[in-house]
Amino acid sequence: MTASTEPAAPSVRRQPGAAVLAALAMACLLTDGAGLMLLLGGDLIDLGYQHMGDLGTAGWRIWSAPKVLFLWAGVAWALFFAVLIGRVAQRRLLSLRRACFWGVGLCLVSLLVAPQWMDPRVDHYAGRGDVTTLMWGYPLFPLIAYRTKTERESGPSAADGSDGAYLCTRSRRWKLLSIELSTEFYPSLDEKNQQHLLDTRCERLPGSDR
Amino acid sequence: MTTAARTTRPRRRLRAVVMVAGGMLVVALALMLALPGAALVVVTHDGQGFELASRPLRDILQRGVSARSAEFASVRFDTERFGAVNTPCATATGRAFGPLVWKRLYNWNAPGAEADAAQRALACRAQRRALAATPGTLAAALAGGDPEAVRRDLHRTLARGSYLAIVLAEVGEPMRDTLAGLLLADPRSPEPLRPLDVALAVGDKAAAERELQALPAGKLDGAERHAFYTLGLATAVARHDDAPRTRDPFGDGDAAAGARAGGFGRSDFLVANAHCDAGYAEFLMGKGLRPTDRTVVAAFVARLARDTPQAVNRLHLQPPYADLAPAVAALGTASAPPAACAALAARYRDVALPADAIEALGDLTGHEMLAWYQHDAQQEMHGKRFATRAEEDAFYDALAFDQKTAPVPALPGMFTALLQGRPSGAAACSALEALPRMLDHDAAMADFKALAESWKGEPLEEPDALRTCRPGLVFPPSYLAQQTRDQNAFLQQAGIACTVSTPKGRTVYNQEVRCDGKH
Repeated sequence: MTASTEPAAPSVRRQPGAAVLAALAMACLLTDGAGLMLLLGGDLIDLGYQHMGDLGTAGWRIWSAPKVLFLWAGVAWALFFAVLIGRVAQRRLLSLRRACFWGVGLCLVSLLVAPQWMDPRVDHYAGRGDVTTLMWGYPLFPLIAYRTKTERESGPSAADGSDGAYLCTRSRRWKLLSIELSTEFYPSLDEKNQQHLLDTRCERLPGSDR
Repeated sequence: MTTAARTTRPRRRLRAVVMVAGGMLVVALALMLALPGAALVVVTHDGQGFELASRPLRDILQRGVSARSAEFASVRFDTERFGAVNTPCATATGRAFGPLVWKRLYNWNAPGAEADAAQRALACRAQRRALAATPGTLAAALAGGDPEAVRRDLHRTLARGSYLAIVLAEVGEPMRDTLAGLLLADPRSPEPLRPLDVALAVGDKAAAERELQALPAGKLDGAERHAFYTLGLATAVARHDDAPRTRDPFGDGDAAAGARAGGFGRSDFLVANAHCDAGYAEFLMGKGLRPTDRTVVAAFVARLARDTPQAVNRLHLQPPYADLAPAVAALGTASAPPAACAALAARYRDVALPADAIEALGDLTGHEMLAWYQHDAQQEMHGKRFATRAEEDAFYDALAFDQKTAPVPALPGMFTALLQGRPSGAAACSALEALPRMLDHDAAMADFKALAESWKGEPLEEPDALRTCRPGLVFPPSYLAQQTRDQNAFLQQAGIACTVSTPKGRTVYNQEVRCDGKH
């Protein structure tokens, strides 16, 4: 008897309870991780964050990470019970691969519909007055949005006393469902590199002397 | 694993994804039809760009599947040549089709716009003209001026709670006069119109109520509240929870206790004054609002501003009422028959009036007649000097009031109606001051006679005010004897034991009042 003549066994028999175990492990890990993070004061995580006064100059700041983990843990627990009930009822609802697919999918969807009080947020500081922010929990409408705002900036006084006028994109906002990504740019806050920033990232207005 | 299983699994997965996405789409569509105008996609650069929004089912049913509209706002252009000018410009133009609205958004003062402000103002104006000329829009119907066409197109406009592409000066007759009367505005005014005003002007109750619902609280004008009352929709105003107005011509504040009731405020008496609407004043009093002495003086100022606008410029009211003239002028007035104004004044009869107020009322009453008189006189007199008294008299006699052609003045009638049956020293003094300016006017003199008659047998309050009364400079001088005679007749008729006398040998003919008997 060779392997080729044997009928292929259903995959569920080869992985008995794998999906249940995986979901349980995921739920436990996420719950413990979130609880531990909350205990260790991880509600605000700074990664290489540097600042001068209230103004961030470099690095990352992450808000409400434990809350997001708790949300995902909730998703994992729901998935675990769904798979468990499926097994107990002797009906194969989800295989391991499907469970993984739904787990990751639901975690992403849960971010889209995360309630506003959770206020998850990630800030990245690329320099003084140059910050990129990712936020969840915004109102659903408008479903998709892109907004920019430009402002006039006058450059630092040159040696001959003349000023240049620039048009800078002050903010950009992208919004998809309840997620918003925004960049804010204030070149005048970065006194050292102001001229360089104005020259590279802003548009010089015609007619302004220099 | 068989080939069939290998192909069905990704297909099922795909089906699941499609089903989740489809479910979200269905929920979004249901929300769209239920929500009022939720934005789906917004792309703007400095407020300029486009927006794709949903349209609620109710709106589709009301305005039809396809509709056009524009939203307006007053934009300030700082031009080099004309200074700062405010022009109504389109902030959004919209085309609706089915459940979707496509909007173009404009920002006329975007920092990137390098063109001259005057050029931008012209572009805004050209766009507005083009929009107003689009056939089938409410603005085009208004420019035609036909009330029937306006009534027909009113329900199709999308500019709900916003402004129309037309200003009052561009509206055709007879709609322009109707709207100007309703808004208490000058027909030439560059005031942008709202669909609400149009609904009120054509008397479309359903449209007016619908527009009121779309209007944010606190955006309803006093003139519009009056129009709602006139249409019998005062309860709708009460429902539209109205925030306190930012512009408060009374100064003493609507915030005062009992100053606002059921969406109406004490400042609404100003609109009752502007229209001489006694019924409205009574309605406001029925709401528990109390007119003050300032309300009464404002009623007189409003009438004076309407009948003789040139008089208001020369008017110098004393401090407690000094700020009333500009406030009333800013609000505007409507024409009204004198009898209606007298009826309004009669409604104010219970208002407690201090001596200052009564003095101001007499001053205003005299001013009205004087203004008619002086308007011509001052034109003639410009640079003129009189060598003799006879020459001066002849000049004024030539200008004498023509009692046949002169319009019937409103203020003497209001003065009479207000002070009827409540004689006081201040009122008598005020009447004596105003009377000389009415000498040539039969209707005005009849009013004063009626006033004196009503005082007969009533006890005189504050007689001391009469003792210190100094009826002003007589004008013109030749009328001195006649005026003294008529003033004394007035006092006698009213049963006041005082006499007016003229000191002899003076160049300034100021009279004195002597009271030696008992009142």
